[in-house]
Amino acid sequence: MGRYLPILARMRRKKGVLIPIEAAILRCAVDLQRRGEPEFHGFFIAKELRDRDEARRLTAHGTLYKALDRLEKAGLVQSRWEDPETAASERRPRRRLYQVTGLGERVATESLRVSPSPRPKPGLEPA
Amino acid sequence: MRIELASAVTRSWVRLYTRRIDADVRASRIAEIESDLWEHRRETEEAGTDPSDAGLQVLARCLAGMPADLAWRSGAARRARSSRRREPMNDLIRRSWWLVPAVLVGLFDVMLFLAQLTHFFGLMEFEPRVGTRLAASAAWLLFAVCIAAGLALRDRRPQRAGVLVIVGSVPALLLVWMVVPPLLGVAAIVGAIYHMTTAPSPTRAPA
Repeated sequence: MGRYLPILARMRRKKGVLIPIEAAILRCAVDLQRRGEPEFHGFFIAKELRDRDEARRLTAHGTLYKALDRLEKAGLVQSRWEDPETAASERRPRRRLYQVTGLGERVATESLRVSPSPRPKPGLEPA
Repeated sequence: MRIELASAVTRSWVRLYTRRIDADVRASRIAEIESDLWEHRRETEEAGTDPSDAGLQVLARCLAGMPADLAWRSGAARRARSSRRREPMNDLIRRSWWLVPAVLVGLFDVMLFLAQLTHFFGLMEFEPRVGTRLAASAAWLLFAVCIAAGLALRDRRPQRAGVLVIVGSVPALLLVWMVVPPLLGVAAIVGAIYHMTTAPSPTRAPA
C-alpha cells in the first residue's frame, strides 16, 4: 500500500515506539494485573479503556486488535486461546486471553513516567 | 440498526479482509472478532442498552477500525510472503525432489509416444499390426498426460495428483532392460507416495 501512497511510507511508525493506544492498553493491562486480573480478552480491555478515559465509544475492532498484535510481536504481551471446554460450559465463543510480560510491565512503567495516563475513576486505583 | 445486522456486517468485513492470508492467522482473527461481538452483545443485554444503539456502536467500531484492518492485512500478507521467500533450501528439496524424476518419466512417455507414432507412419505399408501400434502410441500419450495432470494438481489435490503420477510412471517399470527409465519410474512413484502422505490437506482451517 505504501508503494502506491508514498505518504503512508513517511507516516510509518518507527520500530520500538508505542503509539498512544498501545501505551494505554499496556498501562491498563498492568493495572488489571495489579488488581488480580492477570489475563484479559480484547473486549474486556476495550471496556476498561472506555471506562478509564470516560469515553463514550469502545475502541474500534481494527485499532484494538492491530495494537494487541503489535504488542505481542514486540514481546510486551503474550496470548493464549482459552480452553474450549471453559467456553463451551459458558456457551460462548472461545476468548483469546492476553497477559502482560515482564518486559511489557517495565515498558508500561516507563511510559507512565514519560506521559502519565489519565486519572483512573474512583475505585479503580491499583491496590 | 439491529445488533445482529451490525454483527453480520462486521463478520462479512472480517472474512473479506482476511482472504488470501495465512489460514491460521485468518482463523484466529475471525475467532477473536466473533468472541468480541459476543461479549459486546452480552454487555448490551446486561446493561439494558437500546438494541439499535448497540447495533450502531458495533457498526461504528467496525467502520472506524477499517483503516487499521487494512494496514494489519498488508503487514500479515507481507510477513507471509517473506516467510515463503525464507523457506530453507532443505525443505524445498525435501518437498520437491520427486518432481525431477516425474518430469523425466513424463518426457520418456512422450518420447515413446512419438517413437511409436513415427514407427507407425514410417512402416505403415509393411506393419501388419497397425492397430496395436496405434493403441500403444495412444497409451504412452495417456501416461504422459497423467503425469502432467498429476504435477499440475500436486498442491490443490495431493492425493489425486499422487495417483496420477503413479499411473503415468508404472509403465516405465516394465522396460527393465533400459535401466534408467525404470529407476526414474521407481523414484517418481516413491516421491508421489511421499507427497500423498505428507502434503497438507487443502481443507479450510477450523474456526
